[in-house]
Amino acid sequence: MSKVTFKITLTSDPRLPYKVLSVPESTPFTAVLKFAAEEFKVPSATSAIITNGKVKGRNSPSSVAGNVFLKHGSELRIIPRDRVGGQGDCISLSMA
Amino acid sequence: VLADSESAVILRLRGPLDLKCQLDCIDEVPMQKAISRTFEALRLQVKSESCVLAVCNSPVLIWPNKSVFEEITPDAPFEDIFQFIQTRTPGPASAPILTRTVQKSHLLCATLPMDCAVWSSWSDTIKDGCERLMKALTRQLFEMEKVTLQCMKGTTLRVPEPLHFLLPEPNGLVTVVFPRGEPDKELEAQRRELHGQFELPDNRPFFRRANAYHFPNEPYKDGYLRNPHTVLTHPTLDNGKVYLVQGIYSYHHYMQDRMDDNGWGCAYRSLQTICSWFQQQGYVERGVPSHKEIQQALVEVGDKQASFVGSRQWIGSIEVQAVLNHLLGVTSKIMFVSQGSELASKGRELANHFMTEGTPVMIGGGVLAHTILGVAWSETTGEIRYLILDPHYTGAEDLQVITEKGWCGWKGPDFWDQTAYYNLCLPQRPRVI
Repeated sequence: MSKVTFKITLTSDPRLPYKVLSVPESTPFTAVLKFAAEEFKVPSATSAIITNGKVKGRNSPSSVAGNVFLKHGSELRIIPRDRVGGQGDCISLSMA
Repeated sequence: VLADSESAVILRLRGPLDLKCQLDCIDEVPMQKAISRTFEALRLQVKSESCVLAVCNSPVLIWPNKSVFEEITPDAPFEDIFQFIQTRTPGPASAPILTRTVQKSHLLCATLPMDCAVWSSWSDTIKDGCERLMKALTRQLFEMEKVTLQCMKGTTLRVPEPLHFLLPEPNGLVTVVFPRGEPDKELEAQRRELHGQFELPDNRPFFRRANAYHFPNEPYKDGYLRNPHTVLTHPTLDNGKVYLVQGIYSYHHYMQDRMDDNGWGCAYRSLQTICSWFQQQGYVERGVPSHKEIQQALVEVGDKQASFVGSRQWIGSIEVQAVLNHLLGVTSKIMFVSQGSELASKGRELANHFMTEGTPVMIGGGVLAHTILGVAWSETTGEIRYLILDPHYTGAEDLQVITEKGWCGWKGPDFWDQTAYYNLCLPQRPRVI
């Protein structure tokens, strides 16, 4: 079975540590995210993987490592997801 | 109908013309000939002395082919017409006239929605303006005939409908006749031809129905504000330039649509603003999604469990990107910034985004979501300002309040939480016409 290799960088750490992962190409990409998050000790539920490339969409759960590698290459970044909602209409610093 | 801008005036001529054509048989060639004859008759009618133009909301009447001008002199500049225009309550409608013809035949009956518009200037005389409108009217009848015949399928005809498009200089305001009701995707060949004719780039739409020019005197019926940022004075930085969103968006914010999302819906609202941009630039036909539809989309892509629908859970830029992809087929770039202070150094990237994509940007971080509509940036000094549309506003669609209180306004780098991390969702414009 063929394997694909990714270099995944943790962007939330200013030292930009990275891990190199080799996975079978049929591995569901969500598993890659989970594994990478565990390695970096960040919660996978609040993380996302993006590429260094120009255009990137969030992978649908049905995509596999092999396809991701072909489409986006091997350089990936793991980022913390933002979750925002606000606290009403009195938050912004410049409001009167 | 007159619309004004600083030095230019748009003259618009509208009115229904009846197309009535008796057909002795419904074979294609005789039908086409009969239709052409009817159009020729209409063209003669508008050139006849019985043709009258009425200026809306005024007592001014003009017989362009007889050179009779009531209430006004032909050599007067167009500015003079304004003194006559006042809003009036409409009078009683005139009674319809019925005729009965006893004859066996096929009757083709349609109303042609004539709609011509020409640029003019305030100093042009009324006589010249009318002449240009009448020429445009005749030209439009020729185009309508062409489109009617081209789109004939057996015995079905499509009513030709004029649409106006404001193209980049030097083209200006252009009128195109399309068959009414034909969806955009069936008209791609016509659009490609138009792009070639007007030397327009072939990677962005200019002639989809949603791109039709919105005349200043026609208020939007949905009640949302469009492009509130245009009334602002943009900052001038040393050697700085302003890079703005291109096109039209609607301002979506807390509490609209009878939806109380105060305290949790800001990312949803920013996403709605972005969706409104894609709809109004003609990239998608679907309307702006509701909170529920957004949540449903996230369940469908597997990002959230089914219980998410109907909840008040927060979302962020990754969800925004996922929904744009799933509902609109739009891909986005995600920019991660490890702390807010770093946003001050993103001037070049943001400037490039507004220049090439021109789409509104959603930014999430420090528990708040905002929409970035533009950036003022100096390449030499590095000074930067951000044009922000704030979805946390809970008030009414009052342009004055929104701009004076800064709900749509220019902010400095200190606007961001300097230590929080941020994700930006930069939607990419599909390369289609």
